[in-house]
Amino acid sequence: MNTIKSKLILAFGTTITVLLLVMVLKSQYSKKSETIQEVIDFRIEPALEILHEYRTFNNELFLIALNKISSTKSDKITNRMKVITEVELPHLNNRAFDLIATFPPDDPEFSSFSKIISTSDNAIINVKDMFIILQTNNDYAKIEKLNVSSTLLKDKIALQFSEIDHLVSALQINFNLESKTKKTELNRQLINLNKIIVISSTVAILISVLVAFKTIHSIVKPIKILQDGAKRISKGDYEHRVTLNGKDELNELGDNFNNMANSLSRSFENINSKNKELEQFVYIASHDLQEPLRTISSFSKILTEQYKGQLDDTGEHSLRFISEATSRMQFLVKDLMDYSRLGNDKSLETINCDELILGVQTDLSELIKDTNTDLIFNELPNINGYKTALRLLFQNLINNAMKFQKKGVKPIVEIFYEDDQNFWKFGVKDNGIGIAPEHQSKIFSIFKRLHTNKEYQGTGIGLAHCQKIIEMHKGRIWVESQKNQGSTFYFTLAKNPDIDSVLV
Amino acid sequence: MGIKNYLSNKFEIDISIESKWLCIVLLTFIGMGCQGPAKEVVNIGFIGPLTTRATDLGIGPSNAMKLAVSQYNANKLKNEPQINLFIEDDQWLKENAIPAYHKLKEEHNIKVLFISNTDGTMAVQNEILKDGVIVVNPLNSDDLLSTTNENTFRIAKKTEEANGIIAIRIIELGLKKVLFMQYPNDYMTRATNAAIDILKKANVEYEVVTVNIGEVDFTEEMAEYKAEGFDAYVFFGYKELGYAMKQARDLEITAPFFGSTVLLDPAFYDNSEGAIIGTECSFFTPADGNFVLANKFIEQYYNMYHERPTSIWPAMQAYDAMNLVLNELRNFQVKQNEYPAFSDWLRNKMKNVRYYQGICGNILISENRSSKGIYFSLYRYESKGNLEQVRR
Repeated sequence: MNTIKSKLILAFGTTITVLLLVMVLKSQYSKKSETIQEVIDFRIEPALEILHEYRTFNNELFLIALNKISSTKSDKITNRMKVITEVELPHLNNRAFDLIATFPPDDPEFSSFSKIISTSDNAIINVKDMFIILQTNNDYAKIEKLNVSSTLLKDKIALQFSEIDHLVSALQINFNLESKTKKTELNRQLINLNKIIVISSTVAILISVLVAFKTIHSIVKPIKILQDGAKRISKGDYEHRVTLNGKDELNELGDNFNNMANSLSRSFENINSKNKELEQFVYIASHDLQEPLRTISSFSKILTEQYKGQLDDTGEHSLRFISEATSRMQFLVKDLMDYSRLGNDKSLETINCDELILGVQTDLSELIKDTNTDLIFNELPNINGYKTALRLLFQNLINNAMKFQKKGVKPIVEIFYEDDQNFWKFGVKDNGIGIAPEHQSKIFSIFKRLHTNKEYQGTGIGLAHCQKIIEMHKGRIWVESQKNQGSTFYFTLAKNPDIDSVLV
Repeated sequence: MGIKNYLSNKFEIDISIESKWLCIVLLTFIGMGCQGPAKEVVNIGFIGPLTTRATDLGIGPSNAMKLAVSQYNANKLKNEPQINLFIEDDQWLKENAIPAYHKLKEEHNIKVLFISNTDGTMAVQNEILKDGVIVVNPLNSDDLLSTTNENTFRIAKKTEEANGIIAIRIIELGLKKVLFMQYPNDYMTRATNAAIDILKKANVEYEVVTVNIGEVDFTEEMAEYKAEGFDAYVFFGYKELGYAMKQARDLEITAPFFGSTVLLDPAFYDNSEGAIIGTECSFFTPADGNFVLANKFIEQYYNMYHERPTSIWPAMQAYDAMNLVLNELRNFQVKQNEYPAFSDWLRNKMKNVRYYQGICGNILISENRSSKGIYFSLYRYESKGNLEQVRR
């Protein structure tokens, strides 16, 4: 149940439920407003409209009746009377009848409207009668017809119109009042509805945000713990393990992560152990090899000195080869020992690079003099590093720069640097034979040589030394060169090699 | 990898084919849904005088009805029925009504018939009831027509009312001895009787003479009438009475002339050679109806036919009658299945028209299937084709 899927379903479900509740609440309140609006639209407004038309047509018809009694001739008046009595008022009565059919029978407006309809019907009959009585101008000459018409107008038509007018006025007052009340009520309902929408929406949003936050937090927190764990392990803290609570997929992932870290830790310990064994082997081997080498070297020297002239040419050549090979092997063994020792000296110190290079210059003074090399460096910085290792680094690079030189060309070796935010960038530039691009990636491998010993002497360990020293200083080494156009060896040194970061 | 891609592609292709099938099926259903009910066509017939006599009661109305039908068809919605109008000439003779009706029924299976001749309306009564055809008289609504069967409606002026105006005018002018020259058909007989009923009450002396159909020489009779000293002549007939007017004036009869609602037939003027001028009659113009809508109708009529109707009121009434029917027929498609027959459905719809805003005014169909709301006024013949309302 505590899976991520369940959490997400729960979160979405909660949000949707809250929204549904808001909608139901809104719908309930809207219904009240709709009911009021229906009363306004289907009862009050049509009633007011019908009443207004009653008033208009009754007033007009009464005026027509008055005119008829005072004036004999007008087709227009007669036709208008017919339009009102035969079309407009009957239609209006029908509308009123249809409207009050929707009223409750005990509604006071029902009886008032019914009274208007019946009175209007009677008034129509009386007006028509009056027009029949006074059809021609001869009828006006007959006093009895005029009297009947006047009586009809005074005693019936006028009273009927007055009654209609009175009923219409009363109903208009009632309906206007009802309209005002309903509109106020509607307004209040709308304000309440508005408040409900705002409050419920805010609550819904808050609940949704809370649920979303909780859900996201419950998913993101373990991921972050796993991320931190992965970072620590990548920095070398192989003993670090993550602790996650719960039973979801992420906790399962945490368990797998710890299993992986255990496995990684065991493998790393194994590798370390093997490395140490290997270094020990290299050291012991190179150390123990020196003794027989010295013996071979001493005896080959004695043989050369004591049997000088007694040996034939082949014997002397063989002795010389033995002596030279022994000498080269001694260098190799010495370099191997140096390589295996690198890293054992773990004391960082502040180093004045100018002094360091001067020391190297002194060590290489004979070679510099022999090769007539110009070694250029100026105001190099004070850096934090392993002094012995850095001295070996510069010595190897300067030595190489002088060694791999074109015949008949005066070697010029220049050392320069750049100050970056987190590291120092050094360059050792020469005007030597250069390195073809296809070989540039191979030269830092141990025992890798691009030339024969006859062309340029060496063991093939120097640049491997340099690579190892740079790694100790959390830096990087590379070369930029073209064949016969000199080389520039760049390397970076971390300003603080203690910090676990890789510098470019 | 290759197999996986192949399967994936295959899957995609299958989905695509299924989607296409699904779309075709859906579109078919949607198409069927949008098709709606079958397109309904309602054929309407009109029988009226297009030649020979009283053409002002036939040509103008037929044009007005054609205009109404064309406007309806141009503006109707897709689910509303198409209306076709077919017209037959009865030469204003009731004998022609039945053959004309049979022709319309057999050739076009009309469901609604408009017929303007009162006698013709009476003549087709049995036929239309048997065939379930609804009849509308767009010209007259008199007492005789109120005896017609339940399929017959009158959307027009009331004959008795319209012609009673003449009697009232005679009384108003103090005329004491009146001669009625009456064409022998039902409408003119009813017009005469309506006027006489009023005159009787005012003690006005009168005499009614029925003229022969096609008679053109009234000189002898007119001389006798002059000798009898009539101080008013009422010509309730058609174009033949134009000759009578001329011959009366030639005999130096100076008494005022009165006519019915058909004076604007051009032949009437031509036959009278101008003697018709000054004649008073009951008539209906846009000023008597809904002035705005009526003027719009006249403009549309002119745009369609490049002339105005010879006599405006028959065209106006016919236009209103046709539009009132079309207004109900709009819903024919939707409602037809609720009624056993078309005539029952349309009759019921039309009987419930309580308020229709037409160019003649606001019209109501009363319980006896006649309209109310079209009321004529008194006019005077001023010049050929022109009438002016009499100001009293």
